Amino acid sequence: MAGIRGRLVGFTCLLWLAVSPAARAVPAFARQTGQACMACHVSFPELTPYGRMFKLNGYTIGSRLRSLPVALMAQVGDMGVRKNRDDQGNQIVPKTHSAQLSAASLFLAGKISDNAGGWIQWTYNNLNVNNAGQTVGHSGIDNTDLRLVGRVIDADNTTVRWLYGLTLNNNPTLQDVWNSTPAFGFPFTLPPNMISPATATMIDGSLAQQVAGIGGYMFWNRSLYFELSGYRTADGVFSWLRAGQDIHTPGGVHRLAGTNPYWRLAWNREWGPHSLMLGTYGMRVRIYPDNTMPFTPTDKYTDIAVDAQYQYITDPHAFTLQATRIHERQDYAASFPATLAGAPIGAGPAPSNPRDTLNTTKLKVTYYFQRRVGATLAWFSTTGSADPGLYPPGSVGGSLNGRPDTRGVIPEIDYLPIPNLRLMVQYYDYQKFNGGSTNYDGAGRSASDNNTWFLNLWFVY
Amino acid sequence: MRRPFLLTCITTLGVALLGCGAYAATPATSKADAEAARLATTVCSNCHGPGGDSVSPLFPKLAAQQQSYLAAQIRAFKNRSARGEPEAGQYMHGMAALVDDATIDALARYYARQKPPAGRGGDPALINKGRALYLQGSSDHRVVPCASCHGQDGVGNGPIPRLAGQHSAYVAHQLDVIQKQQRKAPVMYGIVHDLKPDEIRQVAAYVQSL
Repeated sequence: MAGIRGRLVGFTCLLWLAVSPAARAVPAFARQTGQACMACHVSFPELTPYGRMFKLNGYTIGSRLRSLPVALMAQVGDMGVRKNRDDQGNQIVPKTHSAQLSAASLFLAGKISDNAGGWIQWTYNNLNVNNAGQTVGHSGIDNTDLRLVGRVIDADNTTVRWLYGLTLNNNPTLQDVWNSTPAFGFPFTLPPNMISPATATMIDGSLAQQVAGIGGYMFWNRSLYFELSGYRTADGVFSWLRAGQDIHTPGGVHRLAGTNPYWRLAWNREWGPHSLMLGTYGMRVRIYPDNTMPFTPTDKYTDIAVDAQYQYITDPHAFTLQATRIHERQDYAASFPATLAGAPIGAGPAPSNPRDTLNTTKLKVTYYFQRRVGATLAWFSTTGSADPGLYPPGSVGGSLNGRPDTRGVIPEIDYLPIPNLRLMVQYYDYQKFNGGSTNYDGAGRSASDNNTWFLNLWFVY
Repeated sequence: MRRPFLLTCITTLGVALLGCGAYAATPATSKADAEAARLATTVCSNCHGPGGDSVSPLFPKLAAQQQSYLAAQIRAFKNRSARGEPEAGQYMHGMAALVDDATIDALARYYARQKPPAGRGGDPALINKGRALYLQGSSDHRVVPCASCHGQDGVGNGPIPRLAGQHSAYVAHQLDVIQKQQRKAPVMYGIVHDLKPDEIRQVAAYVQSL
């Protein structure tokens, strides 16, 4: 009871801080345009049709700020896991059942000229778990997107027929403007250090803040979007794009070989309060099995995805739907022969098969009333080849049957008393985890034991 | 070191495209008109649509709007005299702050000369009732005919806005905020403060159909 009271007092204090006059400002882009958050966001970070155009226009709409274009973001949360002890009785997720500052970010964001703009995010993770298993603060670069843009206007001076540009970013799909793609897909924030499934596709966040990508995009008649980018490990002149990453520990990051293609094609239509997008995206990457051994043969991952987004935005109702399906082909051209020979490459994977597949499906529906009160229901599923080498048994994180299959739903309720403050309650309900519903890890753990609740206060300034 | 072929291609393509720059084929009559055309096309059109023919009913159609009405509205946003309107603060205060007086007038000229938006049909029963209200006023004389100021065909006149072809949801919302006196329009408030919700929907459907 005392714990609940303490959390309530903590959240009340934070709420008071957030709504006090000093906190009534809005982040850098809102200051640049003079517009409210809701002009660009259904609810941050999900974009409205105008928000998508603002991003594709290289963040150049509005006036360049005379002051330093900075913004701040902080998250304070509390979480709990249904069974937060492993089979040996050890705690799995640290710092549960207490309000914790989980992360704080500093943004440098804004317009540089009518043809250039962008943003750089630096994040302090207060609950980072180091290699020794200790919870220590750690900071590093987060999502970053810098753009150059141009426009071809019709002779009658009414229509931007071609909007085109270049993007430099450090997370594949970060540059995308539809929230059906992974980088800005749901869930928009996660419980810190939550128990995660054994694997995810490469394009689904596995390369975030480890790579540098340069790409060109074109948006024709606000209807057809095409992008082609190339990603490589963020080293050399791009090393600042992975600042703070653990690049020296084997297995700390993924290291790409050469330049790897990323593509995106989307058809967009807007009519009345409706907007619809149907698209495809994907990438093919060559990865050194051990990131500290960039001289070995490489494994190849090919991700091909389809996605869709529908939005209905009026005053006071907003309804949105996003869906994506990612199919990944994994070719262990380096790791499989090495494993077969009894000498896996460093900390690299030790697959039982020469080739595997992984499929991820995500579906999410959201309703907001007056952009103030909202509810979301999401469903997710990952299935893939059985590969005991990749997914061996092991307490909590392992798989008894060698499968990565994970499935569940995420309900979320949001309340924004002011546009730059979100209070949210989220719940992760797992029906299957790492291949099973009961005793999935070989140590007697059930998928539902990983169910997690998350109470979060998300503030931007 | 091997030159990354893909990056080279993308960079070359991008630089070539950026070199094209934005262009406008129609000669501008003045510096302000050129700036207005640039702003209307690259900024305003993101919400108000190409040439002011918006798609979303959250944003009014500006095409063929009365020049003096539009200039007065933009000035009201710029000097914050429209601060009571929720949408003014959410969208327009910041945008209006970007333009000087000459550009405001030029923007109004730009939109006034655009092709009028096409009317859009709807529920015939609703439109018929709206037509009667618009042309004849309410039968109990609570509400005067809209046509007496906005014109038989809804095109407006000088400071009186064009309504023909406007989004019905937008018109209904404006009547609602005028009734609530969130939008400062004393003359209109005197006329519409007794309009019932059903009548608002009817007249909004009718003007959209014009």
